[in-house]
Amino acid sequence: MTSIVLLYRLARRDLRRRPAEALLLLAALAVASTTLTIGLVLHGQTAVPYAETRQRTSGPDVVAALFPPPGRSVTGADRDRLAALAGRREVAARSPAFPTTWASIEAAGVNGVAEVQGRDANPSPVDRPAVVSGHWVDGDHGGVVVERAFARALGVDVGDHVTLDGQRLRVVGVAVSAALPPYPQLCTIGCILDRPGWPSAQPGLVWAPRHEVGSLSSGREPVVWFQYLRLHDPSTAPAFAARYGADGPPTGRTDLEPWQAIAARQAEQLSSERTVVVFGSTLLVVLALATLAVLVGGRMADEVSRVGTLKAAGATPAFVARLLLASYLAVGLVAAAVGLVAGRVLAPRLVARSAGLLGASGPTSVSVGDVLIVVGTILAVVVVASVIPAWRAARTSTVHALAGAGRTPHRSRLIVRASAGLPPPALFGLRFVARRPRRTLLTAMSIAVAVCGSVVALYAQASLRAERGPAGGPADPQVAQLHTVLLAVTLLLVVMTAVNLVFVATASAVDARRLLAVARTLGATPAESAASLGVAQVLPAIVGLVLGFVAGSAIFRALAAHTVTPPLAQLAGLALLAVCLVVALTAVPARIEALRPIAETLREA
Amino acid sequence: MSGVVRVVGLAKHYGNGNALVRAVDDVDLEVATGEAVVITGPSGCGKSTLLHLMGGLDRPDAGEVWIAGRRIDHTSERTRARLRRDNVGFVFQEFHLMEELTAVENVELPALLAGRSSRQARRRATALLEQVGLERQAGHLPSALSGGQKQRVAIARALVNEPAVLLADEPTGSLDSAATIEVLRLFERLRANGQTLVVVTHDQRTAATADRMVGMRDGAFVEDVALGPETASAAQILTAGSRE
Ligand SMILES: Nc1ncnc2c1ncn2[C@@H]1O[C@H](COP(=O)(O)OP(=O)(O)OP(=O)(O)O)[C@@H](O)[C@H]1O
Ligand SMILES: [Mg+2]
Repeated sequence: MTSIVLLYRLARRDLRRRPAEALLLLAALAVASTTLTIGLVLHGQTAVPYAETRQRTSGPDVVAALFPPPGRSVTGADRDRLAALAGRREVAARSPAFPTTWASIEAAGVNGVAEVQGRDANPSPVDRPAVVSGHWVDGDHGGVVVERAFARALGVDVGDHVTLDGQRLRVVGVAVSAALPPYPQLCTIGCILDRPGWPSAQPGLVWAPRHEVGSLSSGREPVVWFQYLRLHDPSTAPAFAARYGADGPPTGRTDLEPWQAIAARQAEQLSSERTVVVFGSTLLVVLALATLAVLVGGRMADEVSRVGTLKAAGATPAFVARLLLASYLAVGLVAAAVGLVAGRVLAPRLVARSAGLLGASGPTSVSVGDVLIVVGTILAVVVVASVIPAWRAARTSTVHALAGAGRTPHRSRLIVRASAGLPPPALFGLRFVARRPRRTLLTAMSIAVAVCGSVVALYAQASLRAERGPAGGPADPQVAQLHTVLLAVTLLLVVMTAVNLVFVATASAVDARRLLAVARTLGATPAESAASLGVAQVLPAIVGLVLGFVAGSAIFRALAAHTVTPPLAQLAGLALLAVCLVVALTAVPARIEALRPIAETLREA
Repeated sequence: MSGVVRVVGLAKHYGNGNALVRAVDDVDLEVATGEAVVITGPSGCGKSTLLHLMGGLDRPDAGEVWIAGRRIDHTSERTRARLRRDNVGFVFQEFHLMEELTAVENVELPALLAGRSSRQARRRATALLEQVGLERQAGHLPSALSGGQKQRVAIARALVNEPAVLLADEPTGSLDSAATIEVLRLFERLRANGQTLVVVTHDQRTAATADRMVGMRDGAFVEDVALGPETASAAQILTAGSRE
């Protein structure tokens, strides 16, 4: 009991003595646990908004689409068959059949293609789109209602005008429905896009009064019919669709899409965001590990003498190891708590932007499992990063520890020999690298992680650009959303790496202080001193850069179904930026150190 | 202007108000070429501070510092570094060798900084190690050398660029008597060869290696005596010391 109180007291004093380190550690671990939490929350989140939208709009269990064979229009016999299908005894409720066709749409300079569905003013028993602003279509007053995700992509709102095949119409409402896949995947249910330039278009849904559809249809885009069905047992929808639906090219028979397929596509949209977040959080966890290892390693030198005092006073090695762990574990727990709360707050914001669904900002829950995963991961990071040095410190002989020797610098003959003929800054820099191989490794690793994340982001952006429709077309909300998430994750990575770098550079500069002071008495100029510290950072940075590029492109190739290589200029730009950032972040502490009065340093030594 | 090192009205203060310490207080000193000067005085009287100022490791609050005919107290850190490299050799009580470099690598370092080729630097370093009697230890790391050997390596390193003046701060302060004698013999030989020397010490035996002794107290000089050739030779004192 006494030992726990003592442990607590010593650990608390330890944190107080080094607030900057404690804060850096807290930031690194909190950012990692936040992204981890977001990833976990998104995982459970995907089904919720669709289910809610389905419920609030009387969503269909099965979407029936009647397409004519190529070059023909729908015949009376075809429509009879659709009516027969809708009359089957498995069907509990049905909407009327709605005529649907395709038209060019133009809104405020954005050109695209719209799927126009003819609707009645009175609500349908199945699929009653929820009007989020304005009002529903009304045959007497004209005007159209635009599906919300499509409206956002076009940049239109209630009161604006759109031009459908040259016909100017007012937007009277914006609505959301569960009967369609998320924009821009509308055509996964079926489209007829026969005009030149259209096949690459990504149509969105527009509801119009029934009579408008007839005037918009043509020989090339005939009228097709959509009918929405509710079954007695929604879970049998896939079986129903498989039994009565038509496969392959339109044959005049009816395509059937079960609601589960639509839900899966809605979830898919979130899943790519989740992949980005999970990948980003993995990298951030690795980075936090590096940060921690740098901190622990950098502290060992002056920690050992304290450990020595404790041991001389009779503390067991196990107690010493526990003490070192205790302060980091405390920070880790706080960080995990911060991350859980922040993740819980931020996650719904990511989901809320799926404009095609309702209730996306509904309750988001962090399950007990999520809490365990986040806390477990963070604590594991802390233990892994500090247990080895703590164990090593605890094992150092008491006499050696009292002498405050810390770890004696390594001497790598290879590096010393390789540096022999180089100009002094490079020579010193290489020898600093040789002195602290572990720190050098960690620098390389942090940079590799950040560069890896950025390279994956570049690849992903390039792929997204390649998937995008023709220029001047409507904006793809999913692409925009992914862009944002990618950018946020990349920025987090870069910022955390930058903080890490400054810390490592400062630690190295302090570490090299006496050595540089002596070198300066021998005639090394401040510029030479700073440059040698720079070399010590830039060398591992270059290694990290190369590793990051290789790992980043390999990971993206492994994750993505098809790879689009980003422009060479972008990759080169990233490399250049990384090097500049490393140089700039290293230069400041190096310069400060290089201008420190020599006499003072020598006096302290 | 004959002095290799000349300081005029030199002052360096620390702190202020009641806590003001006049570490060096209006000091004038001129060291002629080939002269060996010893500065002595009690602990805290400002000897190290003065030596640092003379070598351009620190900036004075007032006064002038001239080395090899150039005034250095106003110049940039970079210029002073260059000047140090070419004209000043430092020896410290704590040796300040680079632990991860061998003896010969330590010695050649200033030559490399001065832009010599690595072959030239190595040749010069080897020759100097031979002069200080450590040719067999050339490949040893400092951790494998005794205190006296470390200090001799440090002296060799200070001499590698043939400096106009060698500044030594308590060079025997960390050494036992036997090692002290090794180092003093070396200083004696340097003086005989005409090397300009300024040595800070409170070791009486070290004083014997000098042409001139300056006494210091509270930042100022209190005596300045020329030690004639009639002074007991260093060798004699050294022998006497080793018998103690
Ligand atoms: N950076 C500093 N800040 C405050 N006071 C200082 C500083 N450097 C030196 N002093 C003070 O200046 C005075 C002279 O110090 P200095 O080291 O030059 O003495 P010293 O004669 O070399 O002593 P010793 O023989 O013990 O080495 C001392 O009182 C010292 O405390
Ligand atoms: Mg001193």
